[in-house]
Amino acid sequence: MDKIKGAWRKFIGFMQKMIQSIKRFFAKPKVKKVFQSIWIAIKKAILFIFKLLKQPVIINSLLAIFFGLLVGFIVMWATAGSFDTAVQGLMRLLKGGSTNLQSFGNVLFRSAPLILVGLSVAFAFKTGLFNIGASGQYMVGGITALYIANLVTMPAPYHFILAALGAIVAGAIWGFVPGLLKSKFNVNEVITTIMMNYIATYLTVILAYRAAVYDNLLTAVNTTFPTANIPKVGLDTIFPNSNIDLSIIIAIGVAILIWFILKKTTLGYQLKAVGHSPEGSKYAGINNKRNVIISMMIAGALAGLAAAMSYLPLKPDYFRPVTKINPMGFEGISVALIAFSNPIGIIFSGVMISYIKQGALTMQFVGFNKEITNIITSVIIYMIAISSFIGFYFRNRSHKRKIKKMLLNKGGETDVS
Amino acid sequence: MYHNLLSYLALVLVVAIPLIITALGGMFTERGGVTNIGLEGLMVIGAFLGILFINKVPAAAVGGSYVLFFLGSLVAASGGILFSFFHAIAAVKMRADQIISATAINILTPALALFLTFTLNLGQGDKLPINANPFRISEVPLLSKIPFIGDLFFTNVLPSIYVGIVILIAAYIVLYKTKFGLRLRACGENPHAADAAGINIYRMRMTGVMISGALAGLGGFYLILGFTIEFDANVSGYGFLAIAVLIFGNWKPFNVALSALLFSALLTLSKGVAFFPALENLGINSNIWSMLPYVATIIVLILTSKNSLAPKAIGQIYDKGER
Repeated sequence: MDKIKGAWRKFIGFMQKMIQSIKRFFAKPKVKKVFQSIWIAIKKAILFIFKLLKQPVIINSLLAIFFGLLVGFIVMWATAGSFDTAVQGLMRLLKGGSTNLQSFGNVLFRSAPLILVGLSVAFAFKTGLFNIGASGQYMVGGITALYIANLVTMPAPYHFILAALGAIVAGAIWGFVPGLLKSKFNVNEVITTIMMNYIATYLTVILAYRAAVYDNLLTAVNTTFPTANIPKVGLDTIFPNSNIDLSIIIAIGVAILIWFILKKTTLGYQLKAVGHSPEGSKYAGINNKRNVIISMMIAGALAGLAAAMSYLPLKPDYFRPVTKINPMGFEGISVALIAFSNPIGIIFSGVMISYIKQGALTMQFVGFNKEITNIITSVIIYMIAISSFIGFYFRNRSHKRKIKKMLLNKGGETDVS
Repeated sequence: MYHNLLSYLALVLVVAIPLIITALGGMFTERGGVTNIGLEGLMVIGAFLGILFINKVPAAAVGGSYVLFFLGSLVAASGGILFSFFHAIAAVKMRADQIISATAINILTPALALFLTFTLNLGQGDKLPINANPFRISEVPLLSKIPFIGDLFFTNVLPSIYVGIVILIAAYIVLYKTKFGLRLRACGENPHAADAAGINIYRMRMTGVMISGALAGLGGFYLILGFTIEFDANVSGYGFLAIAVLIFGNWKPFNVALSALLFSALLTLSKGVAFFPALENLGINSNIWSMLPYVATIIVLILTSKNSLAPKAIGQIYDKGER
């Protein structure tokens, strides 16, 4: 027993000496200085990152995207159980759309509807409305475009224009209903647009099964209507063998148009005012109710146009009569949020989503489901939702510290303005 | 006729119980002043984890299929709590837009469920098979002899029906008869006054959101268990419908239950017409029957918009410094 006690005492004494010597080592002015400067450098670096974070919106988006990819990578790592496979998966995701001009052309081709649906959600956002109904507007727009494409005979460019206009009108009508209900009866547009999604789903199923347009072999609405196809306008010479057509140019043009409307016109100003402060805009003499309806109609029209862009090309999406809500509207929400509802930003976020979706298609070869893109986008959306708080938190902290420092330096003077 | 009516009502109950549970969850979060349109996603994750649990754990290992059912329910509820925590912390503490953070959950959970099912080979492809038969109670002694009620509630039913009724009563008691319920309601009506009275708004609201997560997870599990034989990370919009049920039920427990029953009667109509030859002979497209509940929802919302008793501070971010 005594032996153990003695050993224990010795051990304690040794540890105390060790601690003292470590303390003495750190107490030396030179060492202290070095460590302090390292610590300050780390702090400065972190502060610098967050200074960027709180500054432009772009950095927020990029950081959110980074976090999204990080979480996606961790999920892949955890499920695959091996680091290498996860790295392979991530590389496929990041490289999938850029292997050659053809696949990049396809990325641009697929991004056109995404950009337009994103604009639809963003436009409603600017008026303080949340358009979850983009899916429904997209579906009715799509079926209208297909009906016009299949049943009307017309010369080439006009047929396409008519079909696209039909889609726009149908989408606008589908957006009008929630807008009207919101402004007349103050019914929450989130619920009504969701209900409109379901109504659109069942309605389009009924319409798609009609013998006049339904193709039994394809199990979808007929897709051969040469005069109504979106013109290629020679873009496929730049991106050889790809499906790219006028749609991407239309999407970019509409994005610029929406930017112009929001930024430079009275209508845009009024819409933003309603979104910013309904009470204040009412006081300023802006007709809130009318603006809510207009905003929802434009949002619907944009979603309808998006549908025309994905169902009218030479290599279109198939319109299948399934009783499931088209996921396009939810992708539109992602596209809009990643760009913080900025119309010009949406061009880039639309291309980005399309890009990683293309990459995800090749991930199945290494055993991952393509759903990883949705995991990543959801994390991005979440990070964007909390980004303003995180920025605010660090700004607040550094501000407080500055005040503290000033107080210390000035020896307690209270002049801290 | 009697048997047709009975099987229709049984179908209604299969849908109504999960709707009631989920809508009550929505009631707890909205009464606390936080909207949660993430109920849909929380239902998906609850269903996914619950089904996974009862598929992978043999009933004999835990002591009978009813124990397994109970444990599966717990797993589903805790899955809901875990994911609602993300919404709670973002919406309450971080002052994020409540709709956006909930949307993130709605996108995340189905994707996660599909991804895990496919990548880890949990089922067939990206679908989980479901077998609810071992959990059915074939007959409750004595009670099943009661005419009609015995046939409907005590013969060949899933235990979820009793869990639902217990939750309904518990929700009423918690919300109206406890200190916690009073405080939660205060947070949804006038958070500043509640704060002045010494209530921790943040903690109350977080708890409210997480109760909604637990109940939505449970609701999703029961819905999928009773309704389908295959789970593909989809609860067909019942989470959103639960919010409509909640609004129609005016944020009160028993009204919510009644409106859930009404909605379920409409929702099952497209399948239910088969039980009523008179309706089936009308020859109406089944998709129109399916459309009906959603049209009805919109009409109901218009009618109830005038005397809605929504919590006053709903959807508002609480900021201590604000005046």
